[in-house]
Amino acid sequence: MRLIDYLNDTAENLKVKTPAIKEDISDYLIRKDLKKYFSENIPDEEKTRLKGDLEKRVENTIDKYQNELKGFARKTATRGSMGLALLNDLSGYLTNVPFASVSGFAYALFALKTAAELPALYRYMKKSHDWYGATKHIALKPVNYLIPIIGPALEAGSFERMVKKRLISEAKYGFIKEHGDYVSFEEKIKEKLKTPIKDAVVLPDRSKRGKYAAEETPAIAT
Amino acid sequence: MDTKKIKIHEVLTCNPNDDVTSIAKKLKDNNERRIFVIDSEKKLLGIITTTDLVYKVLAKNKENLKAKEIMTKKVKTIDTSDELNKALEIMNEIKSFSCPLTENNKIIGLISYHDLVGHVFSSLSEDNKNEID
Repeated sequence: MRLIDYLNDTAENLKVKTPAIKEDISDYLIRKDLKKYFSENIPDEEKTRLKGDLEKRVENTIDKYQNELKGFARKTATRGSMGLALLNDLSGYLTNVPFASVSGFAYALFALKTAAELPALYRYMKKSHDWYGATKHIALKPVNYLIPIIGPALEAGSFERMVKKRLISEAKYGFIKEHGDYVSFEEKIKEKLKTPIKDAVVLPDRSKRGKYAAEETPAIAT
Repeated sequence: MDTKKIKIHEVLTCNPNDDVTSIAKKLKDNNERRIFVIDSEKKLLGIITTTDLVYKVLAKNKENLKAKEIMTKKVKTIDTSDELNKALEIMNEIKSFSCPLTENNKIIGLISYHDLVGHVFSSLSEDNKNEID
């Protein structure tokens, strides 16, 4: 993969993980994880039907995690604290103040951020049981605490990113579960028509074959 | 919902030496339009339709003919071991909505286009239901 492709890919991933907009997430899934359901050889009508289903699914999942994505108080506290932490680190860097001298305040802001998102994290866990995502989110906190400037920037939207990742995953696997591996309707019919007739019919008793058969008029060989 | 199986429609049969009058009577009594000619081992020899009776008997005023003299010998059939798509191919080829079904050359009955399509769609619905479950 060329560097430019990698960067485009990363930018696309970031774009979808940033806004919780139904269309963006649907388009992302259509282009990436669910592209086989929307390839060129799938009829347009079928694509429209599948896209409608996917959008509905994404919308339902967004509704499910609405509070965790949009909580105003939490967002204000977390973004505000991380903004301050970033400014604190930046000012320390620009004024040549030793990092150790400003890190105490930054840690306090990190602690405030963590405390602010705890209720949302609890609600999120109750809804999703996403232990992997939550563990990863918490495990990365100390790492972010230790990286000046970049750490607060990374930490700022980490909770929303975790929720959006989960949201995308739920929409995707729900869709795959319902539609299975995509097989066109035409292919399904062709496959069904390969059934041997004896498996598709109810064969009458041998004695009853031929309703008005030769029992009435004994058959004579030609 | 279980998959809808294809119903086999029973058929009328006669012997190759039956006279056309008895065949016509048999068709009328049973309200049928086709009769299959079979031998003593019930092997399919041919088919006679009401059209054959009109064209080969009435139009030529030959009422003393036998079944074997007016029957169409090369009957397109499917065997129970064939696939369903062969039945569709034959129906398309003979421009008919039904197809004779045989087993070891012995006539079993007729399967209809309607029942065949019904079976395929019922089977697809069943698969779809199972996938969702």
